[in-house]
Amino acid sequence: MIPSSRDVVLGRIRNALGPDRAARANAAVQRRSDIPVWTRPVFLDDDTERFIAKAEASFCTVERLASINGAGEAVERLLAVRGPDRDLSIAPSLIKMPWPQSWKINFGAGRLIEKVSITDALAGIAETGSLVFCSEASRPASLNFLPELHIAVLRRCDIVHHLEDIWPKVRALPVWPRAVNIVSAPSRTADVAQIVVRPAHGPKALHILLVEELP
Amino acid sequence: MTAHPLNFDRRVAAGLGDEGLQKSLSALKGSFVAARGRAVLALPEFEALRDDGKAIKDHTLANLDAYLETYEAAVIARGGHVHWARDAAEARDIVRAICKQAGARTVTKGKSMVSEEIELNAALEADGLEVVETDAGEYILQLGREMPSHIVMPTVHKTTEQIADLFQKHHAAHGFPDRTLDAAELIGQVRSVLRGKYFKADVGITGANFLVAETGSNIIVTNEGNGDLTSTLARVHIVTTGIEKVVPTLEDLSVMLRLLARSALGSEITSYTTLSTGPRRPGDLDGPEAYHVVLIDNGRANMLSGHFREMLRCIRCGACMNHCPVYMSVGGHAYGSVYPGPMGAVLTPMISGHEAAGELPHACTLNGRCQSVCPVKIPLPDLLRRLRHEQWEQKLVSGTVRFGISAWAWLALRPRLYRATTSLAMRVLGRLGRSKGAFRWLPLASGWTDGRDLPAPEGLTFSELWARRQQR
Amino acid sequence: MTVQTVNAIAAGAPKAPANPRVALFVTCLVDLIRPNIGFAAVKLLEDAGCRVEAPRAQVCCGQPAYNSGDFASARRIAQQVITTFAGFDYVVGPSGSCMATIRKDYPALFEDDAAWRDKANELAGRSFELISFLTDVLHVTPATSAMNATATYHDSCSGLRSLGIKQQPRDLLSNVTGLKLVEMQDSDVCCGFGGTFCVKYPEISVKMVSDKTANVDATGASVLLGGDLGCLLNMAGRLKRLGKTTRVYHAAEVLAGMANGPAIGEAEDRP
Repeated sequence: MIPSSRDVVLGRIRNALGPDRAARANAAVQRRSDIPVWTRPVFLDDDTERFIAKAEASFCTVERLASINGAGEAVERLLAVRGPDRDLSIAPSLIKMPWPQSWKINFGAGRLIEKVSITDALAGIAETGSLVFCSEASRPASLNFLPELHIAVLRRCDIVHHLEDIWPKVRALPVWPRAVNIVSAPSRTADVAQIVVRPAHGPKALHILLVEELP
Repeated sequence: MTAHPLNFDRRVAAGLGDEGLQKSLSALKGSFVAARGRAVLALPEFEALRDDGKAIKDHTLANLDAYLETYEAAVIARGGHVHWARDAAEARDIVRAICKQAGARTVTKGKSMVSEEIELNAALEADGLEVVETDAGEYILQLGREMPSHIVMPTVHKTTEQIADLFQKHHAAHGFPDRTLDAAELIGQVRSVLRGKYFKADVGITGANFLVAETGSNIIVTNEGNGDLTSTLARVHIVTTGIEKVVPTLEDLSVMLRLLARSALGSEITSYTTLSTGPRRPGDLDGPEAYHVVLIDNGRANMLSGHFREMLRCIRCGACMNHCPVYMSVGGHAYGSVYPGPMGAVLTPMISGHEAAGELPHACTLNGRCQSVCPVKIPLPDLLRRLRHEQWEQKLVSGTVRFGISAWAWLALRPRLYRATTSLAMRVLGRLGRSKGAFRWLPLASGWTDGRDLPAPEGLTFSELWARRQQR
Repeated sequence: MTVQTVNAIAAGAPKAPANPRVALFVTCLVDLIRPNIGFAAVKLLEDAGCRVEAPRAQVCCGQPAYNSGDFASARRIAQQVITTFAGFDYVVGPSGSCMATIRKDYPALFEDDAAWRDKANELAGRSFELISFLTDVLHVTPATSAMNATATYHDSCSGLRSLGIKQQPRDLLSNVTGLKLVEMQDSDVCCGFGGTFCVKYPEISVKMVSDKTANVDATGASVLLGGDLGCLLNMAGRLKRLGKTTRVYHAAEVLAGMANGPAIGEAEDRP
């Protein structure tokens, strides 16, 4: 019988690593429950302040709101400079929020027509000022990448200290998400003569609504 | 992977003579190299993180069969498919078969060095598929039918003027008839041309910066967002990746991410870091219907035995080439391989063989700057020397060099004869050269004297003078 | 207890014997091309209380063979060096490159040969590059010499990255009367010498040394110093080809007050 390529490649690896296959399998299992504590950057700033400072340093804009109820007005202010168009894509997870009646809202996956999207983040990371989005039926990942202006809603209490601190939150979801998007800045590229250009393919601007509470 | 060893000298000459390239390489020093330096200074834990990164990769490689099986099981459990490829040809065939099965006509691609390594585009195009590179740099190279000259910044060799010419030729059909030198406008054209392609794509192909065994995820880090649009909007997502990319857990991944962005770009983190795991879940409104991973060996498993295992720690950050004075002098194309610079000089002969890439390990001064910045502490100079050793043992080193080194070693092992010979030679050279202090030309020394004077010896050797001093 | 001894103990360094018997590892380039550097090393060591010998059977450390991949020849030459330099308290050479070969590469060369590996390790443990030997082992500052000039220092790669030599020469040179040290850009980037590299890939090498000499030039320094003759020959040769008058010396020559003769590559009739 001709061995499968899987057998051939694993065979080459085992040939190089030696006969103790069971010990290696055991080591890999052991590692899951016994994760070494690796070095983490030490910083003492307040997590919220650090998150805002880092996000702003990465060309995001951050607006603090007492409640999500203020989001509609905040977005209106933001959109005023863009003209009268109020075609938005909003994650279905935010469908119950009090959005203005006058908006034309696509509660669905991203499309080319809507230039603005609103999505909600699972977490924020103080270390880097990043947002974490996990895809699911009511949270299409394309909304994080297709619009020109991406507006993200983040609860302040969901800001974690280190990058590692998001993993328990993701692991706790009922299903491991197809996409975990860690978004730290608007889209950019330096592929033309190393000149930084924003945007490349993703959003030109990333506005974060940092809310104290969601209803 | 195609390498072009026979043209090495000509490619070097082309790189050295390319004014645009030389300007770009100087700029690279001021931008990404400087940014890396700042990012490392700003993180006191960076050295400890390098040790952690090395430890993570060493542990994973030492148990690679177990982690690949764990990874595979996790991918399958989340509805994905895993394919194993022994070599480049098989990897191409796997991707071609998936495309055929999907009835694909258009394929979008995120940046993937492995797909360059296996020369995937040509194979897909031969099957009649429309292949669209979506990374702005790779897109430019695709239009120009060129190889990347850097693994992170593929277009570092191209000037704005060259890109402007290329776009004027190709983008008129897309409604951009005028030549522009404005970088933002040029990128705007790319954005506009590619927008519709993401939706039109039947298959989206990306690489993987890492694979996580725990979850069965592939990770891509980008600043552009093209990789995410590619993997999210195509009907089928194919990940092409080397078998060495796996790490055990998400905590391990976190360490590697801190190292990668800083080493590659001098950033703390890239704009987008995405973990993709399997196809869209029931009820999901976007994401691919099918998710395939092609795990590619292509020479890697054989590197696990012996000294070259250390090379498999490489996370493709490009810091070694950014800090390599040879790369910075000749540019990436001189290496004639999709992997240039120090990491390429080790990897290319391992993948393509000494016969195809024999020159690369020698075109290095072993100055060690690459090793000092490598985020996973790969001893690149030692590995390059080790490759030279393999070539020496296999008699692949040129006859002249072989004769020269052997003759010199023969003499060096006979101190008395060595002293007699060298003191005579130095006396002659000293007499000829001392009045001017240096030679502008010497027979058989053009390698030195074509570009510099050769300082003349004092005339008497230290050992002669020391013997005289002892007699006194 | 003197401050120096305290430092030595704190650094975990073995206490140096009062008048150690030191073998000078001359290095092949110094032996053949610029013995003055060897005698400067002898002076610095003798001034520091060392009894200096220069074993006659020495030739070269074997690095050209090692770096060319001819490990068998490199091993034979290493064995010759190990034998020649047995029994001395220290082996000291005016080159970071050669001494790094002895300290780092010899043990690696004999990784499969326990007997020779032990000998290689033993030699490695008592072998030092000259400048760092003075500062880190003997903890001495040479008697003040003088040089009225502005100088810039090139960090040779092996000494810098294999042996951690960076601050030591700058510290010692800062004691030279009249000498002003200025840093060039990229002082830690390779000059393009690289042993056989410079003649195997002359175009790349000349590009690299041109970048280096441009950085030297930009400092306005009239003197270029370094700790490895190979690099110094390369840079001096390029400077001379460009018609520059920058004088190039080994740091030991300046520290020993023996930089009054012609600089490297300089004509004899010049002051």
